[in-house]
Amino acid sequence: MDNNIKNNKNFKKVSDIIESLTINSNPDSVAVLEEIGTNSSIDEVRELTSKALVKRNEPDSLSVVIERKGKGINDMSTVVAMSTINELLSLEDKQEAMKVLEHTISTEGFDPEVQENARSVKALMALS
Amino acid sequence: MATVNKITDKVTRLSHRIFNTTATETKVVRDGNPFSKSNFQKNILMEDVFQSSTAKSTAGINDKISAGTKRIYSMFVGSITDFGNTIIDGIESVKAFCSKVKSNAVETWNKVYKIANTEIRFDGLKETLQRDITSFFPTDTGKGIVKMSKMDPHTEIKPMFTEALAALDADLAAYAA
Repeated sequence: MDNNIKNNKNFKKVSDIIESLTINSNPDSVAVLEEIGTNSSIDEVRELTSKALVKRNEPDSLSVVIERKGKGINDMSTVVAMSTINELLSLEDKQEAMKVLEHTISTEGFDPEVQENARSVKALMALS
Repeated sequence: MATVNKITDKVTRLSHRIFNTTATETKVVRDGNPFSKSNFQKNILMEDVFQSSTAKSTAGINDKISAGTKRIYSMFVGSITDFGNTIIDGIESVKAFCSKVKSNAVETWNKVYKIANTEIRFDGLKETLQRDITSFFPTDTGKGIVKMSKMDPHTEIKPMFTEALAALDADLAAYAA
């Protein structure tokens, strides 16, 4: 199945669109990625979208993958969540990500599960 | 008696022609010691200096150039012996150089083989070179991504994204069915 979808012409098109939104300087790109990409029923598309949001390394894009329930590190799919965490650990400049994680952990009102995930990722990032 | 005298006279003339060799001999003039004209040493032996004076007197235009030129050619031919040695020495040095290059190449090859610990094949090298060279040029996909990255996300990219996802969903549904 994995091989089938990655060789699919339309998947390549989706992948190119997500990549273009990663390098697009317009901040509205984050909203499009969140609205279309992270809500997709296809795990591979959500995985690509989460990675793209982390690569942008902006407060808005990082807050989507760290603070939103069911997205990024909080995704129901383990593959998507782990890929997002791996992408966060691979960042050269982790300063922005640490700020968002700290904000998620320290701010009341967030889902306890989201805060727990943020705490774990923060610990991993501190060690890396 | 007259007949006897005629016969005697003929015999006398005949014997004169037979036994007196100097009577018909052409005078041959020698120029003296042929070696005296030249002061070079071993190469003189290769020059044809033993020419008759008759030949000199009837020499044509081609022969007029021969005197000095022959000596030059003779010197040149004589020097070929040494020149040959030089060539042989040169060939020997080239052979030595080639052997050295060959041995160095073999040593380097062995070292690379040892480091890589794998079989080195030109196929792999070709693939690597092709990959590296093609990476210098943007692909159609790369150009498309760059072009899309300059579009407006909401008005241009979002519809494309939605359409592509719908098509992908349809493809996956077809795979499942």
